Amino acid sequence: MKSIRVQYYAVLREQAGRREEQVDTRAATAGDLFDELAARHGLRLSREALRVAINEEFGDWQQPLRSGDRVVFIPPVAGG
Amino acid sequence: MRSFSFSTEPFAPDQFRAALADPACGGYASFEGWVRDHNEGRRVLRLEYEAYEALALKEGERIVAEAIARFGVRKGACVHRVGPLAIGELAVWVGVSAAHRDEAFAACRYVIDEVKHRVPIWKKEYYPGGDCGWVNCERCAHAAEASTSFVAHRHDEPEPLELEFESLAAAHAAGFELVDIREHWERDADPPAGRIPNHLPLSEFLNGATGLPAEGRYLIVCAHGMRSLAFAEQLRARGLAAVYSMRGGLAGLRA
Repeated sequence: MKSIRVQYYAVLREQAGRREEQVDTRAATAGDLFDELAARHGLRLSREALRVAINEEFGDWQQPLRSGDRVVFIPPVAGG
Repeated sequence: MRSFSFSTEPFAPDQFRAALADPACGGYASFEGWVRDHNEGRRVLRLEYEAYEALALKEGERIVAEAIARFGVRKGACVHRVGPLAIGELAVWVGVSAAHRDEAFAACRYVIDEVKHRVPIWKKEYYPGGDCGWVNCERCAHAAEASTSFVAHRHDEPEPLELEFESLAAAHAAGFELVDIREHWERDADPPAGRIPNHLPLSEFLNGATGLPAEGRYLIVCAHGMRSLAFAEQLRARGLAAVYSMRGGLAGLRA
């Protein structure tokens, strides 16, 4: 098991009902972790609409996770 | 001063503008984004910005650095509000100083466009009757319920398909890769008054792929701006996000 810090923003924060959590998981990649958490919290955005950040940098869904990683799922942005 | 920052309070751009002053600069261009009372046909009462600040600051600074490198401007900065905002408030400010105005305008435009598309900032709109929604996210949520197939991102304003330029050089300066889609005979009869590296006659495209990398910024050029408009629309549908048609075509440049 690895321990991952997950933060939620905007629409995902509301859907997950939390700003952050510490997750113990067997997920191998960021994509697997999203699928696991989407099922657990009923997240209603598909992975194709999102980006992922790992340790404060844009990453990709295939990226392997290590214990202690900080993960953020990024919904479609709308600055400006 | 960081080149990209957030403000939780209303701010006056003057202090940030002053930091861009430079004896080598003959021009300063700025953009202010204000909170509008409507979006996509709905009345908007107020809104709220939220940001993933750690990454947003890095990405914002990268964008300003790119603008400086790409357009050769001297200094640039961007400040974005977070938290609740009322109609009419300043939501985002971009300022750029440069030796000459062309680069200043182009770099300023680049910064605001990239910030809108790349920086992890989200906007929640509040509507009359208590309804609210996250811009660009609600459709994705609905689509996700219906299917898990690909969902195209929509921006809060449709991206214009046509752009107007004074010259081919100005389009180059604005960071566009020009693509001439006229037929060989047209190009021979009327060579462009400027450099157009890509020639992709429309009749040849109809038989195959364009070969244009999807991440480029393209300005499609033809004689009068009609074929290029239709072609740009086709390319957008094929997934090239930053593709535009030059209004009026090459004839328009001579008018």
